[in-house]
Formats: sequence, C-alpha cells, structure tokens
Amino acid sequence: MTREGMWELQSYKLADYSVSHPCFICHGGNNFDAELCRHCMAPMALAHQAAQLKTPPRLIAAVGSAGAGKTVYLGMLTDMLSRENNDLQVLARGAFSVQIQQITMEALANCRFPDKTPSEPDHWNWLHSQIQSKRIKRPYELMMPDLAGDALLEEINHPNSYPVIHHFLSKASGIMLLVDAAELEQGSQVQDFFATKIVSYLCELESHAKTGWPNRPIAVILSKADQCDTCFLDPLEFARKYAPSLWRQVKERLKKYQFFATGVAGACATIYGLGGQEQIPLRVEPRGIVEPFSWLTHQISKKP
Amino acid sequence: MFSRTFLDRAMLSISLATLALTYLAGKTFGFWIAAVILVAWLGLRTRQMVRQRYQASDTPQEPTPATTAPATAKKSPLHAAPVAEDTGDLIEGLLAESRYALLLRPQIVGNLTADQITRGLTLLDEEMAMIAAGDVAVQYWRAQGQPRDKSGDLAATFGFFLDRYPVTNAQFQRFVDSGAYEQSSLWDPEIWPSVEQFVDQSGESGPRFWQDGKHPAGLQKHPVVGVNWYEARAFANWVGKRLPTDAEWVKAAAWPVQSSGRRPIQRRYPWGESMERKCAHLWTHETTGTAEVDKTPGGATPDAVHQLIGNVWEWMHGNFGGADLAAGIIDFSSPMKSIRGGAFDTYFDAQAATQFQSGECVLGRKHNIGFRCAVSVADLALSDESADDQAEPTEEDLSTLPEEAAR
Repeated sequence: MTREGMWELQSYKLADYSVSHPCFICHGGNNFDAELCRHCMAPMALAHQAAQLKTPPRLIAAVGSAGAGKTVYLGMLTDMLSRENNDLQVLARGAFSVQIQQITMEALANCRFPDKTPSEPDHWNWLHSQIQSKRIKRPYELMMPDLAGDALLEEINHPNSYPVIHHFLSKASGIMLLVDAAELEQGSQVQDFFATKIVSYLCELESHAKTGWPNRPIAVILSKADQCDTCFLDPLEFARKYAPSLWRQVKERLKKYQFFATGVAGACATIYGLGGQEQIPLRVEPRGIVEPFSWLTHQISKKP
Repeated sequence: MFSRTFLDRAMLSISLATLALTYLAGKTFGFWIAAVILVAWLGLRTRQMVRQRYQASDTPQEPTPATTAPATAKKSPLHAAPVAEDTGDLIEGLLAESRYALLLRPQIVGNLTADQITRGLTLLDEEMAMIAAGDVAVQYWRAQGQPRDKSGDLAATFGFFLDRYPVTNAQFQRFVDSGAYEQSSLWDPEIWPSVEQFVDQSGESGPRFWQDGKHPAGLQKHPVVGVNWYEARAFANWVGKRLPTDAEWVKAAAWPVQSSGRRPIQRRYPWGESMERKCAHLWTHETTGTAEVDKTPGGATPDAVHQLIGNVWEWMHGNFGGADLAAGIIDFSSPMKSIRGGAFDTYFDAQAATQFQSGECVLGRKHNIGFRCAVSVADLALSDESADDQAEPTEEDLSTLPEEAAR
C-alpha cells in the first residue's frame, strides 16, 4: 500500500543556510535562524537588529562582583527612564529588552531582590534600547547585557573562558563598574580587590592610549549606599577611604572616570530560612540611579 | 478660717497697740508685761520659721513619671505657683509654643483661666483632629513565605487626637531653641549617653541636616527630617504628646467604616482606593526633596489630617518585625521601629498605601523620615466625663470641643 503526499521544496531556505550571519558581539558565523551565537551565546537578535541600523549601536557594560547589585541597578534604571518624559529616555527594542526590567520590578515590588544571574551566558538578559536625550542631537542605539559576576570573575582570572565577555568588553564604549559600598564600609577588601582587577583587566585588554580603556569613560558606582549614608555625601572621598586600591588604580590609569553613589532600597533586613540567609529590601527609594548613566551616555555621545 | 499670715499680723498689731497705750497711760507694769509677751511671741515665731525652712530643704523630690506628663511640666512653676504673674507668663509661653496639650492635662487645667482653656482648646482643634474610638484592621510586615492575614490584624483603638500635619522645621526649631537636647528628663534614660551625638552639620544639637542649630532657610514649613526615633519621642514629650501607634495611624488614614459583626471596610489611601498623584508627594522625575506640609490638600482625610501619605515617612511608637523577629526568622543589625506613609522618594504606589509598613533603625536619621504626634482623649481634661471615661469619648465630651474637632 502506498500513500501519496506532497513534499514542499523550500529551496530558498537552503540559500539562507549558505550565508553566514555574523554575531554582533564576536563576529562568529551563525545560521540565519540561530537564536544564540554558537560561539559566544550572545542573542542573534542583536545582530539582526543592528543590521537594520545605519549607525552601529553603542555598547555599555555593567560589571562588578556577584551580588554587587548589577541586575537591580539595570532593572531600576531602565524602569525609571522608561516611565515618563524625562531629559533622558530609554525605549526598549524588542521584547527581550523588557525582561530585566520586568524581573527586577516584580521582585522589588514584593520586597525582595531578583534571583542571582546564572553564570551561563545563554541565561543572561540583554537590553537593546534607543537612547533619547535633549542633550543629544540624534537618538542612538545602546546594548547592555546583565553579566553574571561569577562569569566575569572567571573571565578575569582565566581570559577567554567567556568569549562573550571578552569580546563585549573589547568593543564597549563605556563601563559602569559597581562596587558594594556597604561591604566596603564593613571593612571587607574583597570588593576593592575585585574592582581593581576589573580596571586592570580592561586596561590590559584594550591598552591603546587613545582608543583603549585608558581613554574610555568608566563610571564607578558605589552601590547599596543607602546602607552607608555618608557615601552619598562624597563618593570620591568614600572610595579613597574604603577602596584605596581601586581609587589609586583609577586615578593612575584612567582619564575619564567619575565616582557615584547609588541606592535602591531605603532599608534592608536579613532573613534566615532554609536556603540560608538572604537580604531583603524593606522599601524602594531609588537614589542616584540616573546620574551615572547620564554622565556615561553624555561621555559616549561625544565620540563619533 | 484665718490664714497664718493674717493671725501673725493681727497679733503684731494688738501687741504694738497695747505697748503704745500702756506707755501713754503711764502704766509701767502693764507696759513691761506687754513687752515681754511680744518678745516671747516673736521668738517662738522665728523658731518655727527656721524649722520649716530646714524641713523643706531636707525633703526629697518625687521622681518624674516618663509617659503621661513631661518633666518640663513638673519642673514648671505651675505646680509651685509662687506668684500669679509668673504662672500667667508661663501659660502664655506654653500657648505660644503650641504646647497646649500640657496645659490641657487634668493635673494642670485647674490653674488656667477660662480664656486660657478656650485658647488651648482652639489650638487643639486647629492643630489636631480627633479620631473616634473603634476597630481597625492593621497589616504588619511579614517575611516572604510567612503566614499572614491579608486583611490585617483587628485592633481596637481608643479615642485620640492626631496632628493634622507632620511636625515642621519651625516647630522643631522651638524645641531645639528651648535647650531640650540638654533636658535629660525629656529623653529615654537608655539614650542619655548618646543624646549629645545627635548633632547637625555644624556639630550643634539638632536634626542631622541643619546648620548651626538652625533649619535650612526657607524650609520652615517643610517637615523636619534627619531625626531619629528618640528625637521624635523627646519632641512629643516636650509638647505633652506621644508618637502614634500603628493601629492609631491606620485608623486615621484608612478611615474604617464599622459594620456590625464584620471586619471594618477601609480605604487603601485616605482619599479612596486608587492612587492619585496630585494627592500625595511621591516619587517623580522632578521630585528632589520634601515639600511644604500643606502642599497636597487633596490628599487629606475627611477630617483634615494632611499628608499621611507621601512627603515623609512617619515614625510610629511600635517596633518593626514583631512576630518574625521574635521567631528568629528575621534579624536586624540594630533595633528597628515601624514607619508608615511613604515619602517623596517612594517608588511604588503600593508602598505608600495605608497598610504598608516599613522599618528603620531606631537611631536612623534619614532624609525622608519625619513624624507627627498624637495624644489620647483620656489624657486631656476636655470635660469632667472625659477624664473619667478612659475608653471612648461620649456625646458630652464631643459637645465640649470646638465644632471642628467634634466633626
């Protein structure tokens, strides 16, 4: 017994497969229907969106140790800048760009912090948005990943273990370096060492005096400053006092840098449960969130 | 009965008259008899006076109760009442400083004239709203995963007065200027060693963001901030009031409607169920700090208590994290007190609702935390009945109040 049927020949797809689609981050070749780059795990949507633009998007990275507050900061920032008319506005491009904002806001509204970002790059949230500002003549595109702190530490200690980080930081126009101010004030040097490592790594990664990191803008953000109020009064002095290695490194090696203090939670408490202890926000009172980003975008917009 | 002074004067007059008459009449014997009696009486009287003075200096003074009446009232000449003029000046001073709640205490109100009582009651009516006794559902903060009653715990409140506005910089300036930071009787004994550390930017006693013991220029009508729980409590003591409890604050803000046999129906915000941005000074892109306490009249409760929501968080009397803290589920680096109402930088509307409770370190002197005061109806001598009836004000009580407070 035979069964007749029609088999559609989609020959045009073969043509698509014959063309390599480069990843926007690492330039590695991928199939046209790949969701993630098979080399660095960056979303291929970035490449497709970038291909439609006349001007290539700028890249900004939020870096810092695990638990420094990168996810909360990025989520809070995008929510604040997308809420209503403001001098600086962020318009999300693509549904995936809203994910980090949604996750962060849902968690904070329920008085908890979002879950820790997993180390696997395919689980990271990426933000592709358009930046509009009265201070900028033309709006421009911006891409920001929510990098995992553990992955960043691994990449710094063992370069090229995370190609996406390596390539992204090579191409990035600016960096937001988050340092846990509350931990610094308690006397821990871990944050100081980690931040120093990052600055050192960046300067070695792209060391050219004009085009490399020594001449690219870095906003050093002292996060969780709500838990150490003095940090808001003079962030630079706070950094000099509690993060001397970082302060010296930044001062000696960078030309464009500024220290900021930020806080999202008004107060925090420690909860003891089955999964160990956990910090929770008792209320949300953003302070100093927009200023570092505003400064950074202003610095970036000066460049062609 | 004749007073002691009257008898002394009469005795002195009779003795001197007897002496004069016997001398003029040439009765030598009678003169000397009268002179001896006068000298003996003067000696006895002098001895009595010396004894009285020694006894007065040896008698120890009674300790000052901490809660009901502030120490300033005990120290004040109102109790000693040396001369009528001094007492009058003191009462006028207290009225000028809006410390009417001290004067309206049952122990003190007897020293006031009818006019002074009326003025005190008028101030009470202008500055405070009377919240009637009744039940209220209060939500307390619970850690995630902990069982909670979404509608809140039912609590009963007695009748009380609540400040219509948060305490302003101008009001707190009077407190600072009176030297209250040096009056240990106003402060909880546990905090005595630390009071001298409650200083402003220049090291003077006062709220954290002040300079040289003065509030920032132009901000006299803004709520005072940068004060910790103990400073708020000391101010409340100074004016003869106290900090409100969580239940009292929610009772005033949520305006519960009692229905027989059921839980009270309450409002999410003082003006209704949904957030109205024009009714509360909360986070926006333009918000930079506190606003004047009368900035958002639309957000007042039906009985004209303003800015319970927004502008500044308000210190409550009670602790934060009660049940979870006792169970060891949650831990704070230092004791925390309850705050409610949201502030100018509160991001989520839900965190500025009447039922949302947050906490702050008891010594925290934050830029967005202020307070307002309360006083129980039972603690004021509004009428004879109110002093006796501790539970609920009667119709007669209300009739003695000015119209606005009764409404």
